[in-house]
Amino acid sequence: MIEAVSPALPLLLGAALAVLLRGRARDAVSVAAAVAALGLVLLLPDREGGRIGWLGFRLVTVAVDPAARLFGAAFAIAALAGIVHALAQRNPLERAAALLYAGAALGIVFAGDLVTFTIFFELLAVGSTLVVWSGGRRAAALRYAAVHAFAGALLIAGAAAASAGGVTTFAAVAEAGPLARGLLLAGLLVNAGAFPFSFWVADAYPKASWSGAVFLSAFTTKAAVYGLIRLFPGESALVVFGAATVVYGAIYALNTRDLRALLSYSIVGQVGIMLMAVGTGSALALAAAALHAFAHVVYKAMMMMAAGGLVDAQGRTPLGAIGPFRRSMPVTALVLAIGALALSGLPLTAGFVSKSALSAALGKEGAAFAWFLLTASSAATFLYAVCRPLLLIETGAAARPLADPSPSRLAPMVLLAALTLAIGFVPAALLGRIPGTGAIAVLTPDHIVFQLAVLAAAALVLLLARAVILPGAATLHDIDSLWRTPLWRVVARWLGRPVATYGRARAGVVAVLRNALAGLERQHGPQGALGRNWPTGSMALSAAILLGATLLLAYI
Amino acid sequence: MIPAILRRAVLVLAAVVALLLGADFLVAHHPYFGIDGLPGFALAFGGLAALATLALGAAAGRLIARGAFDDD
Repeated sequence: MIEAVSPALPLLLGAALAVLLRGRARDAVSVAAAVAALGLVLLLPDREGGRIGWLGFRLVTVAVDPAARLFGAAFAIAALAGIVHALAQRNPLERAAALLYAGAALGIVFAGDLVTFTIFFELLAVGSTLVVWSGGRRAAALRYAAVHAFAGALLIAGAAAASAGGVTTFAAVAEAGPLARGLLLAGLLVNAGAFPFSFWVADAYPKASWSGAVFLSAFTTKAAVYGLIRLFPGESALVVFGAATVVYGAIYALNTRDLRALLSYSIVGQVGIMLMAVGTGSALALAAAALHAFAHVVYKAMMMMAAGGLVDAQGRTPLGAIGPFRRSMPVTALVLAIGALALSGLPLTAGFVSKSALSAALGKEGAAFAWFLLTASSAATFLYAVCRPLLLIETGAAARPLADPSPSRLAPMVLLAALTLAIGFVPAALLGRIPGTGAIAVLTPDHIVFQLAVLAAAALVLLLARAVILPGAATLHDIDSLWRTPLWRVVARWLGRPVATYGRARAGVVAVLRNALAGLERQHGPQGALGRNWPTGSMALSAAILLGATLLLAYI
Repeated sequence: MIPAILRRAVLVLAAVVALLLGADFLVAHHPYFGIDGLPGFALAFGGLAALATLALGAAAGRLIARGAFDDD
């Protein structure tokens, strides 16, 4: 019986009840829904479960395999931690939206056919838009909604084209024509935040509330990665998109001065790594991509929770702002530090485990380009997540004293940090549960020395070249600047420099000509020595002297 | 003028790098592409990757820096 119940169901029911209930009853239902979802993820057997008929389609709402269970576990953990963390959030809309969002993410993961998969992706867009909307930044929410309406349309059109023959299985996508595949791929890439569709991530996530950003960091992009694993394993274009996304994420994360924007760009960069692995396509590479997604959901959610504490402090999260609070908010500072080190792949953290799996998968496949880029991305991540924030950290006392957040906000943060370290210290506990990854060597001396050497060399280079520490800005131009900024202003900015240069050159030439004319004026003007009228007396005297001299010479 | 704490950090890191270089000669490598098994490769590659990232980031930063916090 249990195999017919999708883990999405308790969360969707919880979302409906969260609209109706208030206070402690709503809190209790929300937590119970998240616990039930996690329980189902762990207990469901590895096979297809619930089947229902809808509009002539045969929908499979529960299909469990190791990849689905791993993503499901990541999403259920993030949902439970996020809900407990958000208990202090009194916005009723955000609670219902978060439960809907989490339920949709789990619905995608356990969907057994293309129609169910697409329906849950549409629900995911609705839930996530409402979470952004709940943050109070309505313009950002509308931009987010527009992007995801576009992505949803691509997915629906692709799913319709792929199942035109009446077959709605995932396998039908492999047999589908280029139009159907292209539409589905584009829809998933937009949802994944792959370059050049990455702009919406750092536009929306930093503008969510302190609690909403936690859910946003976990679900949409990783659900899309799961979709790519399910529908496009071994698609070579993903290596190209993934590589461009890794570079984009590093450049932007290295230039921003906003902590939550940094975390958003970092999500994009890490998704790029997952895309490269999915594009490589071997069973080990797909498992490694799923493992990296799991680890990333865990440590990025806790980092967003920690950043949420700083939002309380000053409404914004300038990079280095933890400096003044590091003594009054020691747990928040510690969690941020553990997250940043895990993100960089430091040994004994979850990030090292998943990056080791990726390295082994790409290396064994002979995917040299992806392997070297993965290694370089570890150095880049260490620069933007650890070294640059440390150099930019603000000193001095806080403007107003602030303590670590309440226990309900602190506990999930600490538990996720503990999980990050536990996976790092005992990698076999996780790797042993994922088929094909059990044999990956993680905590071996050569791997540890290799990774530490990459990170230490990167840090040394940054310190020696600190003159080029990038000043950056809190907001950065992205692809969306093309339509968010009026065209005339962009053209004026582009033309501004040449016009200013021309103006300066013209002024210089005019000044030289004026000086020359002034010189002529001085010599030959009405008052000039050579141009002015001389008095008649002096002229007559001069003429008389000349005539006298002439007469004198004639008589001599 | 280099702050004392940065000078100390550089010295500590240089010592760590030297230690890791020594350790790299002692551990048994399992390279995938040959070159990644050479002692010192990770240090050289990590340093070059960091330089390239900084150069690319600095060049791009001039173009993409937009301004203060986006209140839109």
